Amino acid sequence: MKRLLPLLLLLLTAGRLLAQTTTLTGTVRDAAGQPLPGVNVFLKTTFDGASTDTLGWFRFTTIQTGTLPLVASLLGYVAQEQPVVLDGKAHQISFRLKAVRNQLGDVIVTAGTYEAGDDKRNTTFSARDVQTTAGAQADVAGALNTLPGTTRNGEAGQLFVRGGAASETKQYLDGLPLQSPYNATPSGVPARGRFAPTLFKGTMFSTGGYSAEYGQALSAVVALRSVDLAEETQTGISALSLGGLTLARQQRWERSSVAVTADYMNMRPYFGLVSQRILRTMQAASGSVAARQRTGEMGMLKIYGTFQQQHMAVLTPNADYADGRQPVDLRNTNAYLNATWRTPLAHGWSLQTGAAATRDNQHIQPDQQRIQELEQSVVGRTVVTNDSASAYWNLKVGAEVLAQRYQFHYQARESDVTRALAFTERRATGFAESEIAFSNKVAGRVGARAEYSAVLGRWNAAPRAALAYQINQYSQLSGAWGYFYQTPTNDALRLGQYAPEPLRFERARHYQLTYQYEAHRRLLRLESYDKRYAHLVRYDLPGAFNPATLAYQLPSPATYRSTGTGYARGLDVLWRDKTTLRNFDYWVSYSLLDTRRQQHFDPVRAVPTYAARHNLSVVGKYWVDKWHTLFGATYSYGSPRAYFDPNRYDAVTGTGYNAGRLPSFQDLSLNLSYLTQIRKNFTIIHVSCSNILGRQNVFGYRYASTPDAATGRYTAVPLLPSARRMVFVYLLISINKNRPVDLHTAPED
Amino acid sequence: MKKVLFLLALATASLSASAQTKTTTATTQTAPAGYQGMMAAAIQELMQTGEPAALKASAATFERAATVAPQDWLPRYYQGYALLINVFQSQEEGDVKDKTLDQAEAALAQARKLGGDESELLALQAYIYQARLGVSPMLRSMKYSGMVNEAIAQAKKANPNNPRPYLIGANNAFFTPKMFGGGPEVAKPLYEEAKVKFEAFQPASAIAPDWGKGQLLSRLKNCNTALAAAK
Repeated sequence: MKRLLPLLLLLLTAGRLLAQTTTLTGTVRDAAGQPLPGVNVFLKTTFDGASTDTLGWFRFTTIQTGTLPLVASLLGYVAQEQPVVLDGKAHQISFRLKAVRNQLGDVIVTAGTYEAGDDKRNTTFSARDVQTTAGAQADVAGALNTLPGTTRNGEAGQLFVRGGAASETKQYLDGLPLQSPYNATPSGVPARGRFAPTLFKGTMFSTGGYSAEYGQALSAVVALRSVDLAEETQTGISALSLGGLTLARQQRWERSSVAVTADYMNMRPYFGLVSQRILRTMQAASGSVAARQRTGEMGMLKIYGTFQQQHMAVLTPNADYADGRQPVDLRNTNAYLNATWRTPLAHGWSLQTGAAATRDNQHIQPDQQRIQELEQSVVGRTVVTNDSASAYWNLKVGAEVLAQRYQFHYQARESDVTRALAFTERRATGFAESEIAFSNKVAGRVGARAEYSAVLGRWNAAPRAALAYQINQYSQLSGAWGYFYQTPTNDALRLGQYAPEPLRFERARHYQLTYQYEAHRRLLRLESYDKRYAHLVRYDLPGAFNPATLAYQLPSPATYRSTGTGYARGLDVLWRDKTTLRNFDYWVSYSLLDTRRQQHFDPVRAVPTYAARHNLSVVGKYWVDKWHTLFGATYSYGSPRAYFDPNRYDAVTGTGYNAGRLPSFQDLSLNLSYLTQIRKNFTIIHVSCSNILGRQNVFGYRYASTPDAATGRYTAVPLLPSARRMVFVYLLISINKNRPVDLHTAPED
Repeated sequence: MKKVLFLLALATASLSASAQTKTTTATTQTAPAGYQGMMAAAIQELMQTGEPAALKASAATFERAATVAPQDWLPRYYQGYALLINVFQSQEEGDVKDKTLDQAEAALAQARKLGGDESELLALQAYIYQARLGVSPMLRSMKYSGMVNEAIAQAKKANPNNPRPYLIGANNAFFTPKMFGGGPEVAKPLYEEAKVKFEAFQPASAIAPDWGKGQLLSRLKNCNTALAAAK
């Protein structure tokens, strides 16, 4: 018996073990009946289970007994449970998993938008593109000008989108509209963005059909998102061969950071080296402070302040002067303060709020004339968002208030009386928007925005909607529609506020259809659009029709009216490929634009002078690891733009308006960024040259205000770039004791 | 044979686990009997494989383990770790790797919610950032190298005795070329420092994070061969 017992025990246990082994097999399919690989099928509260193979098949054994739930789980699908009796027999079980419908991320409405930044992986345009695109000269607008939908205006430097004027593109910094996004320049000299691209971690550029979150833009929106905490404590020194020096210091603590910059520029030495047609003096000094503080687990408080002082003197083309050049002097002082706070709230809600104040004071003296423009504004905004993951939709609700004071002083000469014009605007805005996932393949966005403007004494309500359909894993079709309103610009309002019939908001209606294919770091995007303008401001020129008189005489307020109309339609194409050749990234963008409008003093509907019918940009970047160098090239083409030639214009019939055609615009720019070290400190050397082929681009003609006495014809002088080429070297040294120098990655700044 | 080995490992692991149950945290003690042993076996299996498919399977095992002990952070930690190592081993495209890293970060976030060891979680976070960087070094180096360093510094601060942040930091130096302030010469003392930390390190339990020593020793060996070859 004593010897039997262990044997018996052994047999018993073995028997029990055998009896308890249950084999579970089966398949897992999706709602459409397709097998799902990689599904984790297991008995809940045990380690027993298996993942399905490529045919959606699973098999495993278990020694558990009783009844346990069998779970099938895969990310992106609703997990399913089935109770299974574990009785030692083989069981076959099959599952059908439904995809989670709430994943708003499946289909994103992309109509009209170019996302840039490091947050989203499949960005069309990354933050570093701004700095490394040849010809962009490290300017946000310069880089965005290589995307479809834009027409490059070499004499303005700003963004002209889909037949819209520069004022129709509104820029936002951390959700707050920017009053003066560009630095001040006299007419004919290209402006640059006021903010350094290194301030931003991302940019959203929308060329139409944008969200109800954005207003006061008829054509486009550029939303800049500033960086959060400065990454590390470091000091930066940079020198620009054009005559600029920047010192930057950033200090990082665990939950906060402060970054300070000081910048001085004086191009006099450069002018001595490269003779200039227009520029005589270019001097600027600026400073900025950016403070960041993390609040709670996810909150972020940001304060950014900057101050800039600028002095420019130019000789601008003017046919009324004997040598064809008029001296213009410009002094500008700009102060900007922006404070924002974002934090999560309870129940999936989050809050974004902020306020910004701007003061821009500009004195401009075209020869004898004295013009002063002072604009001050304060804007505040609060937005709450619910991105609750369990819902099929999200909700965003916001309000914005603005107070603005604009003052304009004009003297024909120093001894003359001063004409003063001013207005005060108070604007209140509310908006609501929701993104809805109708199914895994269809998502939509509906929203509305309402504004009240005190200076106009009017309301507007702008409905907007977008719909996206995912054709397959790689491609998507989306459409957008909406109304967009904008208060007339300051120079229209300063006299227009006295119009007999109060002016209206200028209005645009957008329709657009987008096809996008994106796979393996290749992107193709086709977009067609139709834009209709209404209520554009119009006025009559004093005396006989000649726009050149505007420089000396203000139009009569009695002629201001909101009756202008226009249209723009076209096709935008973007192809970007980062895959085909190793270390080579290129994109081609083309836009076809058909536009006409009647605005301001236009006597008839005509093609505006800033629109080109065909626009092409080819951008390439090649990283040579061995030389630690990134090479870049950009070729830009713009078909002939229209200009006004008084000799061809017939005031009686209205024919021949804007009938002149400039030569086409062409530019080939090259740059390189070389990474090295100076005394073990990371150093970047940028070398950049625009218009390497030396083509003489013409930006327009400036006609005399009166015809030549002898010939009866108006004489003209061409508006040309200040110098044919712009060549510069930029040196940046980052002094950082903590980080080893890495020269094997392409530069970001 | 594999199964026998597995069972053997399971047995030894459960033995060593039962010997150390005293040191385990209160949360794991609520787990059903046998949990410690199963975990130990699953961890051992994870540490022995470098095969992408096996690593995915291992992550699935830990996902199951998380349903056994929903209050324990360790299954989620190892799930994240298995997915992360899968990214280093697999030959898949960047998009796929990023998706896997998304899952790894989701698991890490769950581990954090369950109140896991802060220093270990930060070390794993630093490792994940390194993997993100590796997906597209040209585009991401600037952003992620700072984040890697930051997470390492925080992990060291949370527990100066945790050897893993030292190892990850040393790896960073090792893979930076010599002429730019990295390389084996610079990395070697960092590995030595990590080695001291590893020798003094006692895991909190049989299933608490204890990986990295093997990697360290082989890297140190690589350092020495590289330095010898340079002479």
